[in-house]
Amino acid sequence: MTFEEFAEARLTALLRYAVMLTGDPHLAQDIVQDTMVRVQLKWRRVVRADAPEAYVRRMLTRVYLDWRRGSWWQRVILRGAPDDQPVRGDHAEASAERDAMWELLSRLPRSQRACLVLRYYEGLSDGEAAEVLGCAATTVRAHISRALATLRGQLVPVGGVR
Amino acid sequence: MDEELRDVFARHEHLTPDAAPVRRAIDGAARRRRTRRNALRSGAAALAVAAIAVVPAVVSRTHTPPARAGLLGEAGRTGPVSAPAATADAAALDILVVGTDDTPDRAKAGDLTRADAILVVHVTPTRDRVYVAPIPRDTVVRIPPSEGNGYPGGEDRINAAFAYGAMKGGGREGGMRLLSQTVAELTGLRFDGVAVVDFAGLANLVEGLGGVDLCVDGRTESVHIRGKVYPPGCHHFAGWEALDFVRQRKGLPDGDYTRQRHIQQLFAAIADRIRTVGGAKAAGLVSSLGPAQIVDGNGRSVAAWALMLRTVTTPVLLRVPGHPKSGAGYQGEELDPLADDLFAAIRAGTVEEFLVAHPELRQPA
Repeated sequence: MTFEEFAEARLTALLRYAVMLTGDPHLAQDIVQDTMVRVQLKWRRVVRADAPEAYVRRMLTRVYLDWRRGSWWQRVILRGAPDDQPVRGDHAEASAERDAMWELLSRLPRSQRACLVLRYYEGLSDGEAAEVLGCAATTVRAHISRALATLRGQLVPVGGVR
Repeated sequence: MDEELRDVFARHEHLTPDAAPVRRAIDGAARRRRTRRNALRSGAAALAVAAIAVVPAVVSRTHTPPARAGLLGEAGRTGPVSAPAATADAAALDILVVGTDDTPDRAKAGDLTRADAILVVHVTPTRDRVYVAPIPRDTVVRIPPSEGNGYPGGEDRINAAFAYGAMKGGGREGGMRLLSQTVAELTGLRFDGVAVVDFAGLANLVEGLGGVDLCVDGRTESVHIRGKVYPPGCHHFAGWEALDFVRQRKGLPDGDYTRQRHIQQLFAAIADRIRTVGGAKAAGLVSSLGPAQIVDGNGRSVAAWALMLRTVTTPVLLRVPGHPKSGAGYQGEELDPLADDLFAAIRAGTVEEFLVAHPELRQPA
């Protein structure tokens, strides 16, 4: 597999994953670009890995988690607040609660959000998520339960008490 | 809550940016980063010398290129070397071929010389097959001490071995001796001969042969000559173009490994061209290279070499597998264990069998 073939096949999926992590299309683009430049430069090593895609997802997750050290964070500061992307109208009303959820997700610590994305979006087991994050499965479970507790505590139901 | 979370992620998939502009941005950024990295990894790159192509051409007794002893040092194969050419021993031959970026002027000025093209050339006992294995120039190796100038030895990239041997009065001979010993330690081989050619020598050789035909796989842009681009396809190369082409690494898909392949291709093309123009013309050319080329036949005369190698056909190009050393930043290359197996096969004279088991180490011509 060449880098070109890999990018052709997997770039959109990586961008989707990055959107779920960052909640913002521009940040997603930045961290994917950052990661993929590194991937291209060390492609020979990447392609030797058992599963190149998992390897790249690990790298991408690392870039996202290395918030302060990464150059992409500085670009965020320079750009100012992320663009306010309006949610498309047709679902807007019915999904008010879930948009509130999207907003709350952005306030979670990054490692907690990454765990949620890996379990609920990527559909990984705790063990697989732990591998992506380079931590123990118990840590993943702890992050998730803490994140869920935060969300439950802060989510104000739109239609009455739950 | 589980369902809501799955939902909220799936609902926001539409935020995913379009891949095409990201793709272009990645390619552009990777190109810029690679250029910067290559600039750090020692500026001017290498060139190849085609000693094995040159030597068989030197059949004329009136034209003898400067042959000097002492380039091999302990890396030379010991044993009877005075056998008459006609009864050339039926052992395999291993030759070290090195391309440097120095010129006689630079050498006089005491500038450090880089030996960036390092080819191990293996000739079978039947003298009909030649294998060419390039040692990646950034391979980190143990460099033995250099007796001549007091360099104490150490660990460094292999292309530094030449410079360490050449400094403090070691000269090209000292550089070549230390590089020979370093390659001998790395590969376990002892060499029957060594040849060195510099930039000008290579360009003049190709020019004198009327140019060479090379096939370019991927668009290659020159960083040394503004606006010079080598488009994919087979073209005729003048001397200066061939030299410029094999110096390029920028933007090549596999960096220095692709460049090593270009060097091997040029090697094969020169050999082919010499067979076409004939020995007499090539012999005149080699002698005209003068100090741009130096050879140590380890006791054999150039004429003896020519006789031994007259039956050689198109070289088989090998790949010596390696990978970047792990750690922060780029710290040079490390050879794969398979590379050691390849060297063992060369020592044992079983390269052909080895290539059956490992066809991926055979480069396309």
